[in-house]
Amino acid sequence: MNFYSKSSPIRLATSPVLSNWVQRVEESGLVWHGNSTDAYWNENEHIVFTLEAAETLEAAANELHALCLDACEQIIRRDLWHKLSIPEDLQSMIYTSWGCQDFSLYGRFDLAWDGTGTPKLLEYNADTPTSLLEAAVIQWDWLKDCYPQSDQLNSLHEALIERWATLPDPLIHLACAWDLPEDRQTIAYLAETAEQAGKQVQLMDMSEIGFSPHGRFTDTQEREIDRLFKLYPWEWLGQEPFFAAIGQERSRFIEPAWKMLLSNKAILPLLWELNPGHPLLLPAARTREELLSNGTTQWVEKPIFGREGGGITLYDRHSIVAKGLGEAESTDVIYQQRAPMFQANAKHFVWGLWIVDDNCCALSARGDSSPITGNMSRFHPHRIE
Amino acid sequence: MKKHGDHTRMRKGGILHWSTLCLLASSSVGLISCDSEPTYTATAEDAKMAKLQQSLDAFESRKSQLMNGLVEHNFELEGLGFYHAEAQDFFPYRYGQEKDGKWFANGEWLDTEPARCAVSVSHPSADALRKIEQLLEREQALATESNGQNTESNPTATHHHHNHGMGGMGTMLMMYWMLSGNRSGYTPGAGFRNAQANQQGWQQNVNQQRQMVNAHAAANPAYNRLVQQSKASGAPVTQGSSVRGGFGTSQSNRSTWGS
Repeated sequence: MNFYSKSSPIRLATSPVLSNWVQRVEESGLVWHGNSTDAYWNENEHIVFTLEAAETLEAAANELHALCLDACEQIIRRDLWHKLSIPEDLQSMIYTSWGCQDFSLYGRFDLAWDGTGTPKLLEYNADTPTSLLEAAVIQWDWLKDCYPQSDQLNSLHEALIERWATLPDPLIHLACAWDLPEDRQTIAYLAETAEQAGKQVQLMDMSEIGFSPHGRFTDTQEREIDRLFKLYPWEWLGQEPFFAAIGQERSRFIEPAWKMLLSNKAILPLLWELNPGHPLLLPAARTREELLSNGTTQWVEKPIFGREGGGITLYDRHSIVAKGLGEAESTDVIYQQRAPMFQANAKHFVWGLWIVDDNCCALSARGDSSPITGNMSRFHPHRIE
Repeated sequence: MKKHGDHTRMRKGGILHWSTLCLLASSSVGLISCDSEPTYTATAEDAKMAKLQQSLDAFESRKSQLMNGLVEHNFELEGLGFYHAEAQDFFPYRYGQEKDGKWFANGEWLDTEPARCAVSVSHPSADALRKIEQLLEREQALATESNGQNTESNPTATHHHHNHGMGGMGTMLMMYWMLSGNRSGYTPGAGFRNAQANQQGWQQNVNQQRQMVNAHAAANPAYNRLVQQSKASGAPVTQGSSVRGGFGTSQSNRSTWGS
């Protein structure tokens, strides 16, 4: 069954679920796939893109990434810090990080697009993007198993390996909040790609990171950390005791400090201000009045820091349409015009476009009965026909 | 469009495979398996401050009791030994200490292990109080001698042959409190009278040490985690190379999954 006409550039298709799917996804590391009635990983439906549609999203992500990098440059050069609500003690670190072009590994754009007009940027998960394993591996395994003749916009795995290989460091440390299985598996997967790039790896909990009298961060074996991938938001690090000790160690952190400019949703109004009317951007503002002054009647209120849809509220002519589960992580909010999303079988879909080394290299899809993508929004594999 | 190779992305026995097995084993059979136990070590300054803090905490927790003249069973006063509450006196060995098949209690070596002392605190006997005052007198003389001046005029001066971590003044102050709280039990002499004149300066010195610990804790937030870890485990904060625990405090219950 198809939930869209065959001529549509995007459609939701149903497919038979193979009996070995649990074993397949678990063997590849997805241990939080849910169950048959409430599955996070969902194989009985998948998204089908035309090649043109996939290329449209790919091109949009590449152009948005360029806009974002330009915005970083503008913030630094034109001293636009006040537009991002970034505390002063973080600004100098970001300034230096951008100036030195500290190494970045990956990021993920979330785009809305119903197949008509142009895709629109919802946000850029530039600092701690997850659902990486599903995007890079699990949906690829699904394709090989279920639709071996089809294609997929997905070279994420290879791109990560290539990116790691550009680092001179032989040992990479990867840290996260260890008691969160999905975060732990995300860094384990990244470690896998680093190992395939010829690196040695060490996984650890954030709290295990030590700081030596020599001014270096260390692992539990007292080895100095030359490169640390941290699946842990910079805005959290900024409030923690060791933040003051980062200093010259800044460049060892991946994602780099300059990603704070992009993971902060206040970048959305700034992007609009710097590129007014850009077809890939939605009108956005720091105040509701400003956004509504252009005739917007449907908008989204987003906390500048937040995850899993926490604190997001959708409005239609001042009535609340939907509220994200979870709490906002900041009181500062931005306002963004709502975008038409692809909808099928009573679900709304957000497209994840993955950036590695300044290039879009993968596409992923999350669907939810709510128009707000949250923690439990289902991951749908995709194929190109 | 397709730019990937056709090789299997996950290696059997690779780190992700290993991590997956750990998680699956943990969820199905409750094994902790691959979870590593964090080890927390400290800088020399952390270790020093933690020892001092422990002494100050113990000192302050006893203050009210000692000022009322009560001494805790097995309380150690260097120079006199351990207080046996039932016998109301100090002895060179801890109550219940075993040596060569005998056990020490209330001044005697016993052939069998003594019952747990039924008295947790008591007032020292007049004889014990005289021993305390004599020790106090010696300590004051030693302090004066080692500092080359009267301790009253230099309240920060300390001498360090006591193992309480906070120097001799804390010990002298505790002895003064013991005597002060038991003045009805014996006749105070010169040692007590001198201590009465100096005790304010000793207290100031202890307060300064507390401020020093507080300042260290404020400047080194990871230090507090070290101290908490030490209290929870019972193991002292020991000198090492790295302080740990300065990251990872914000994680709460949130997941970054899907962000």
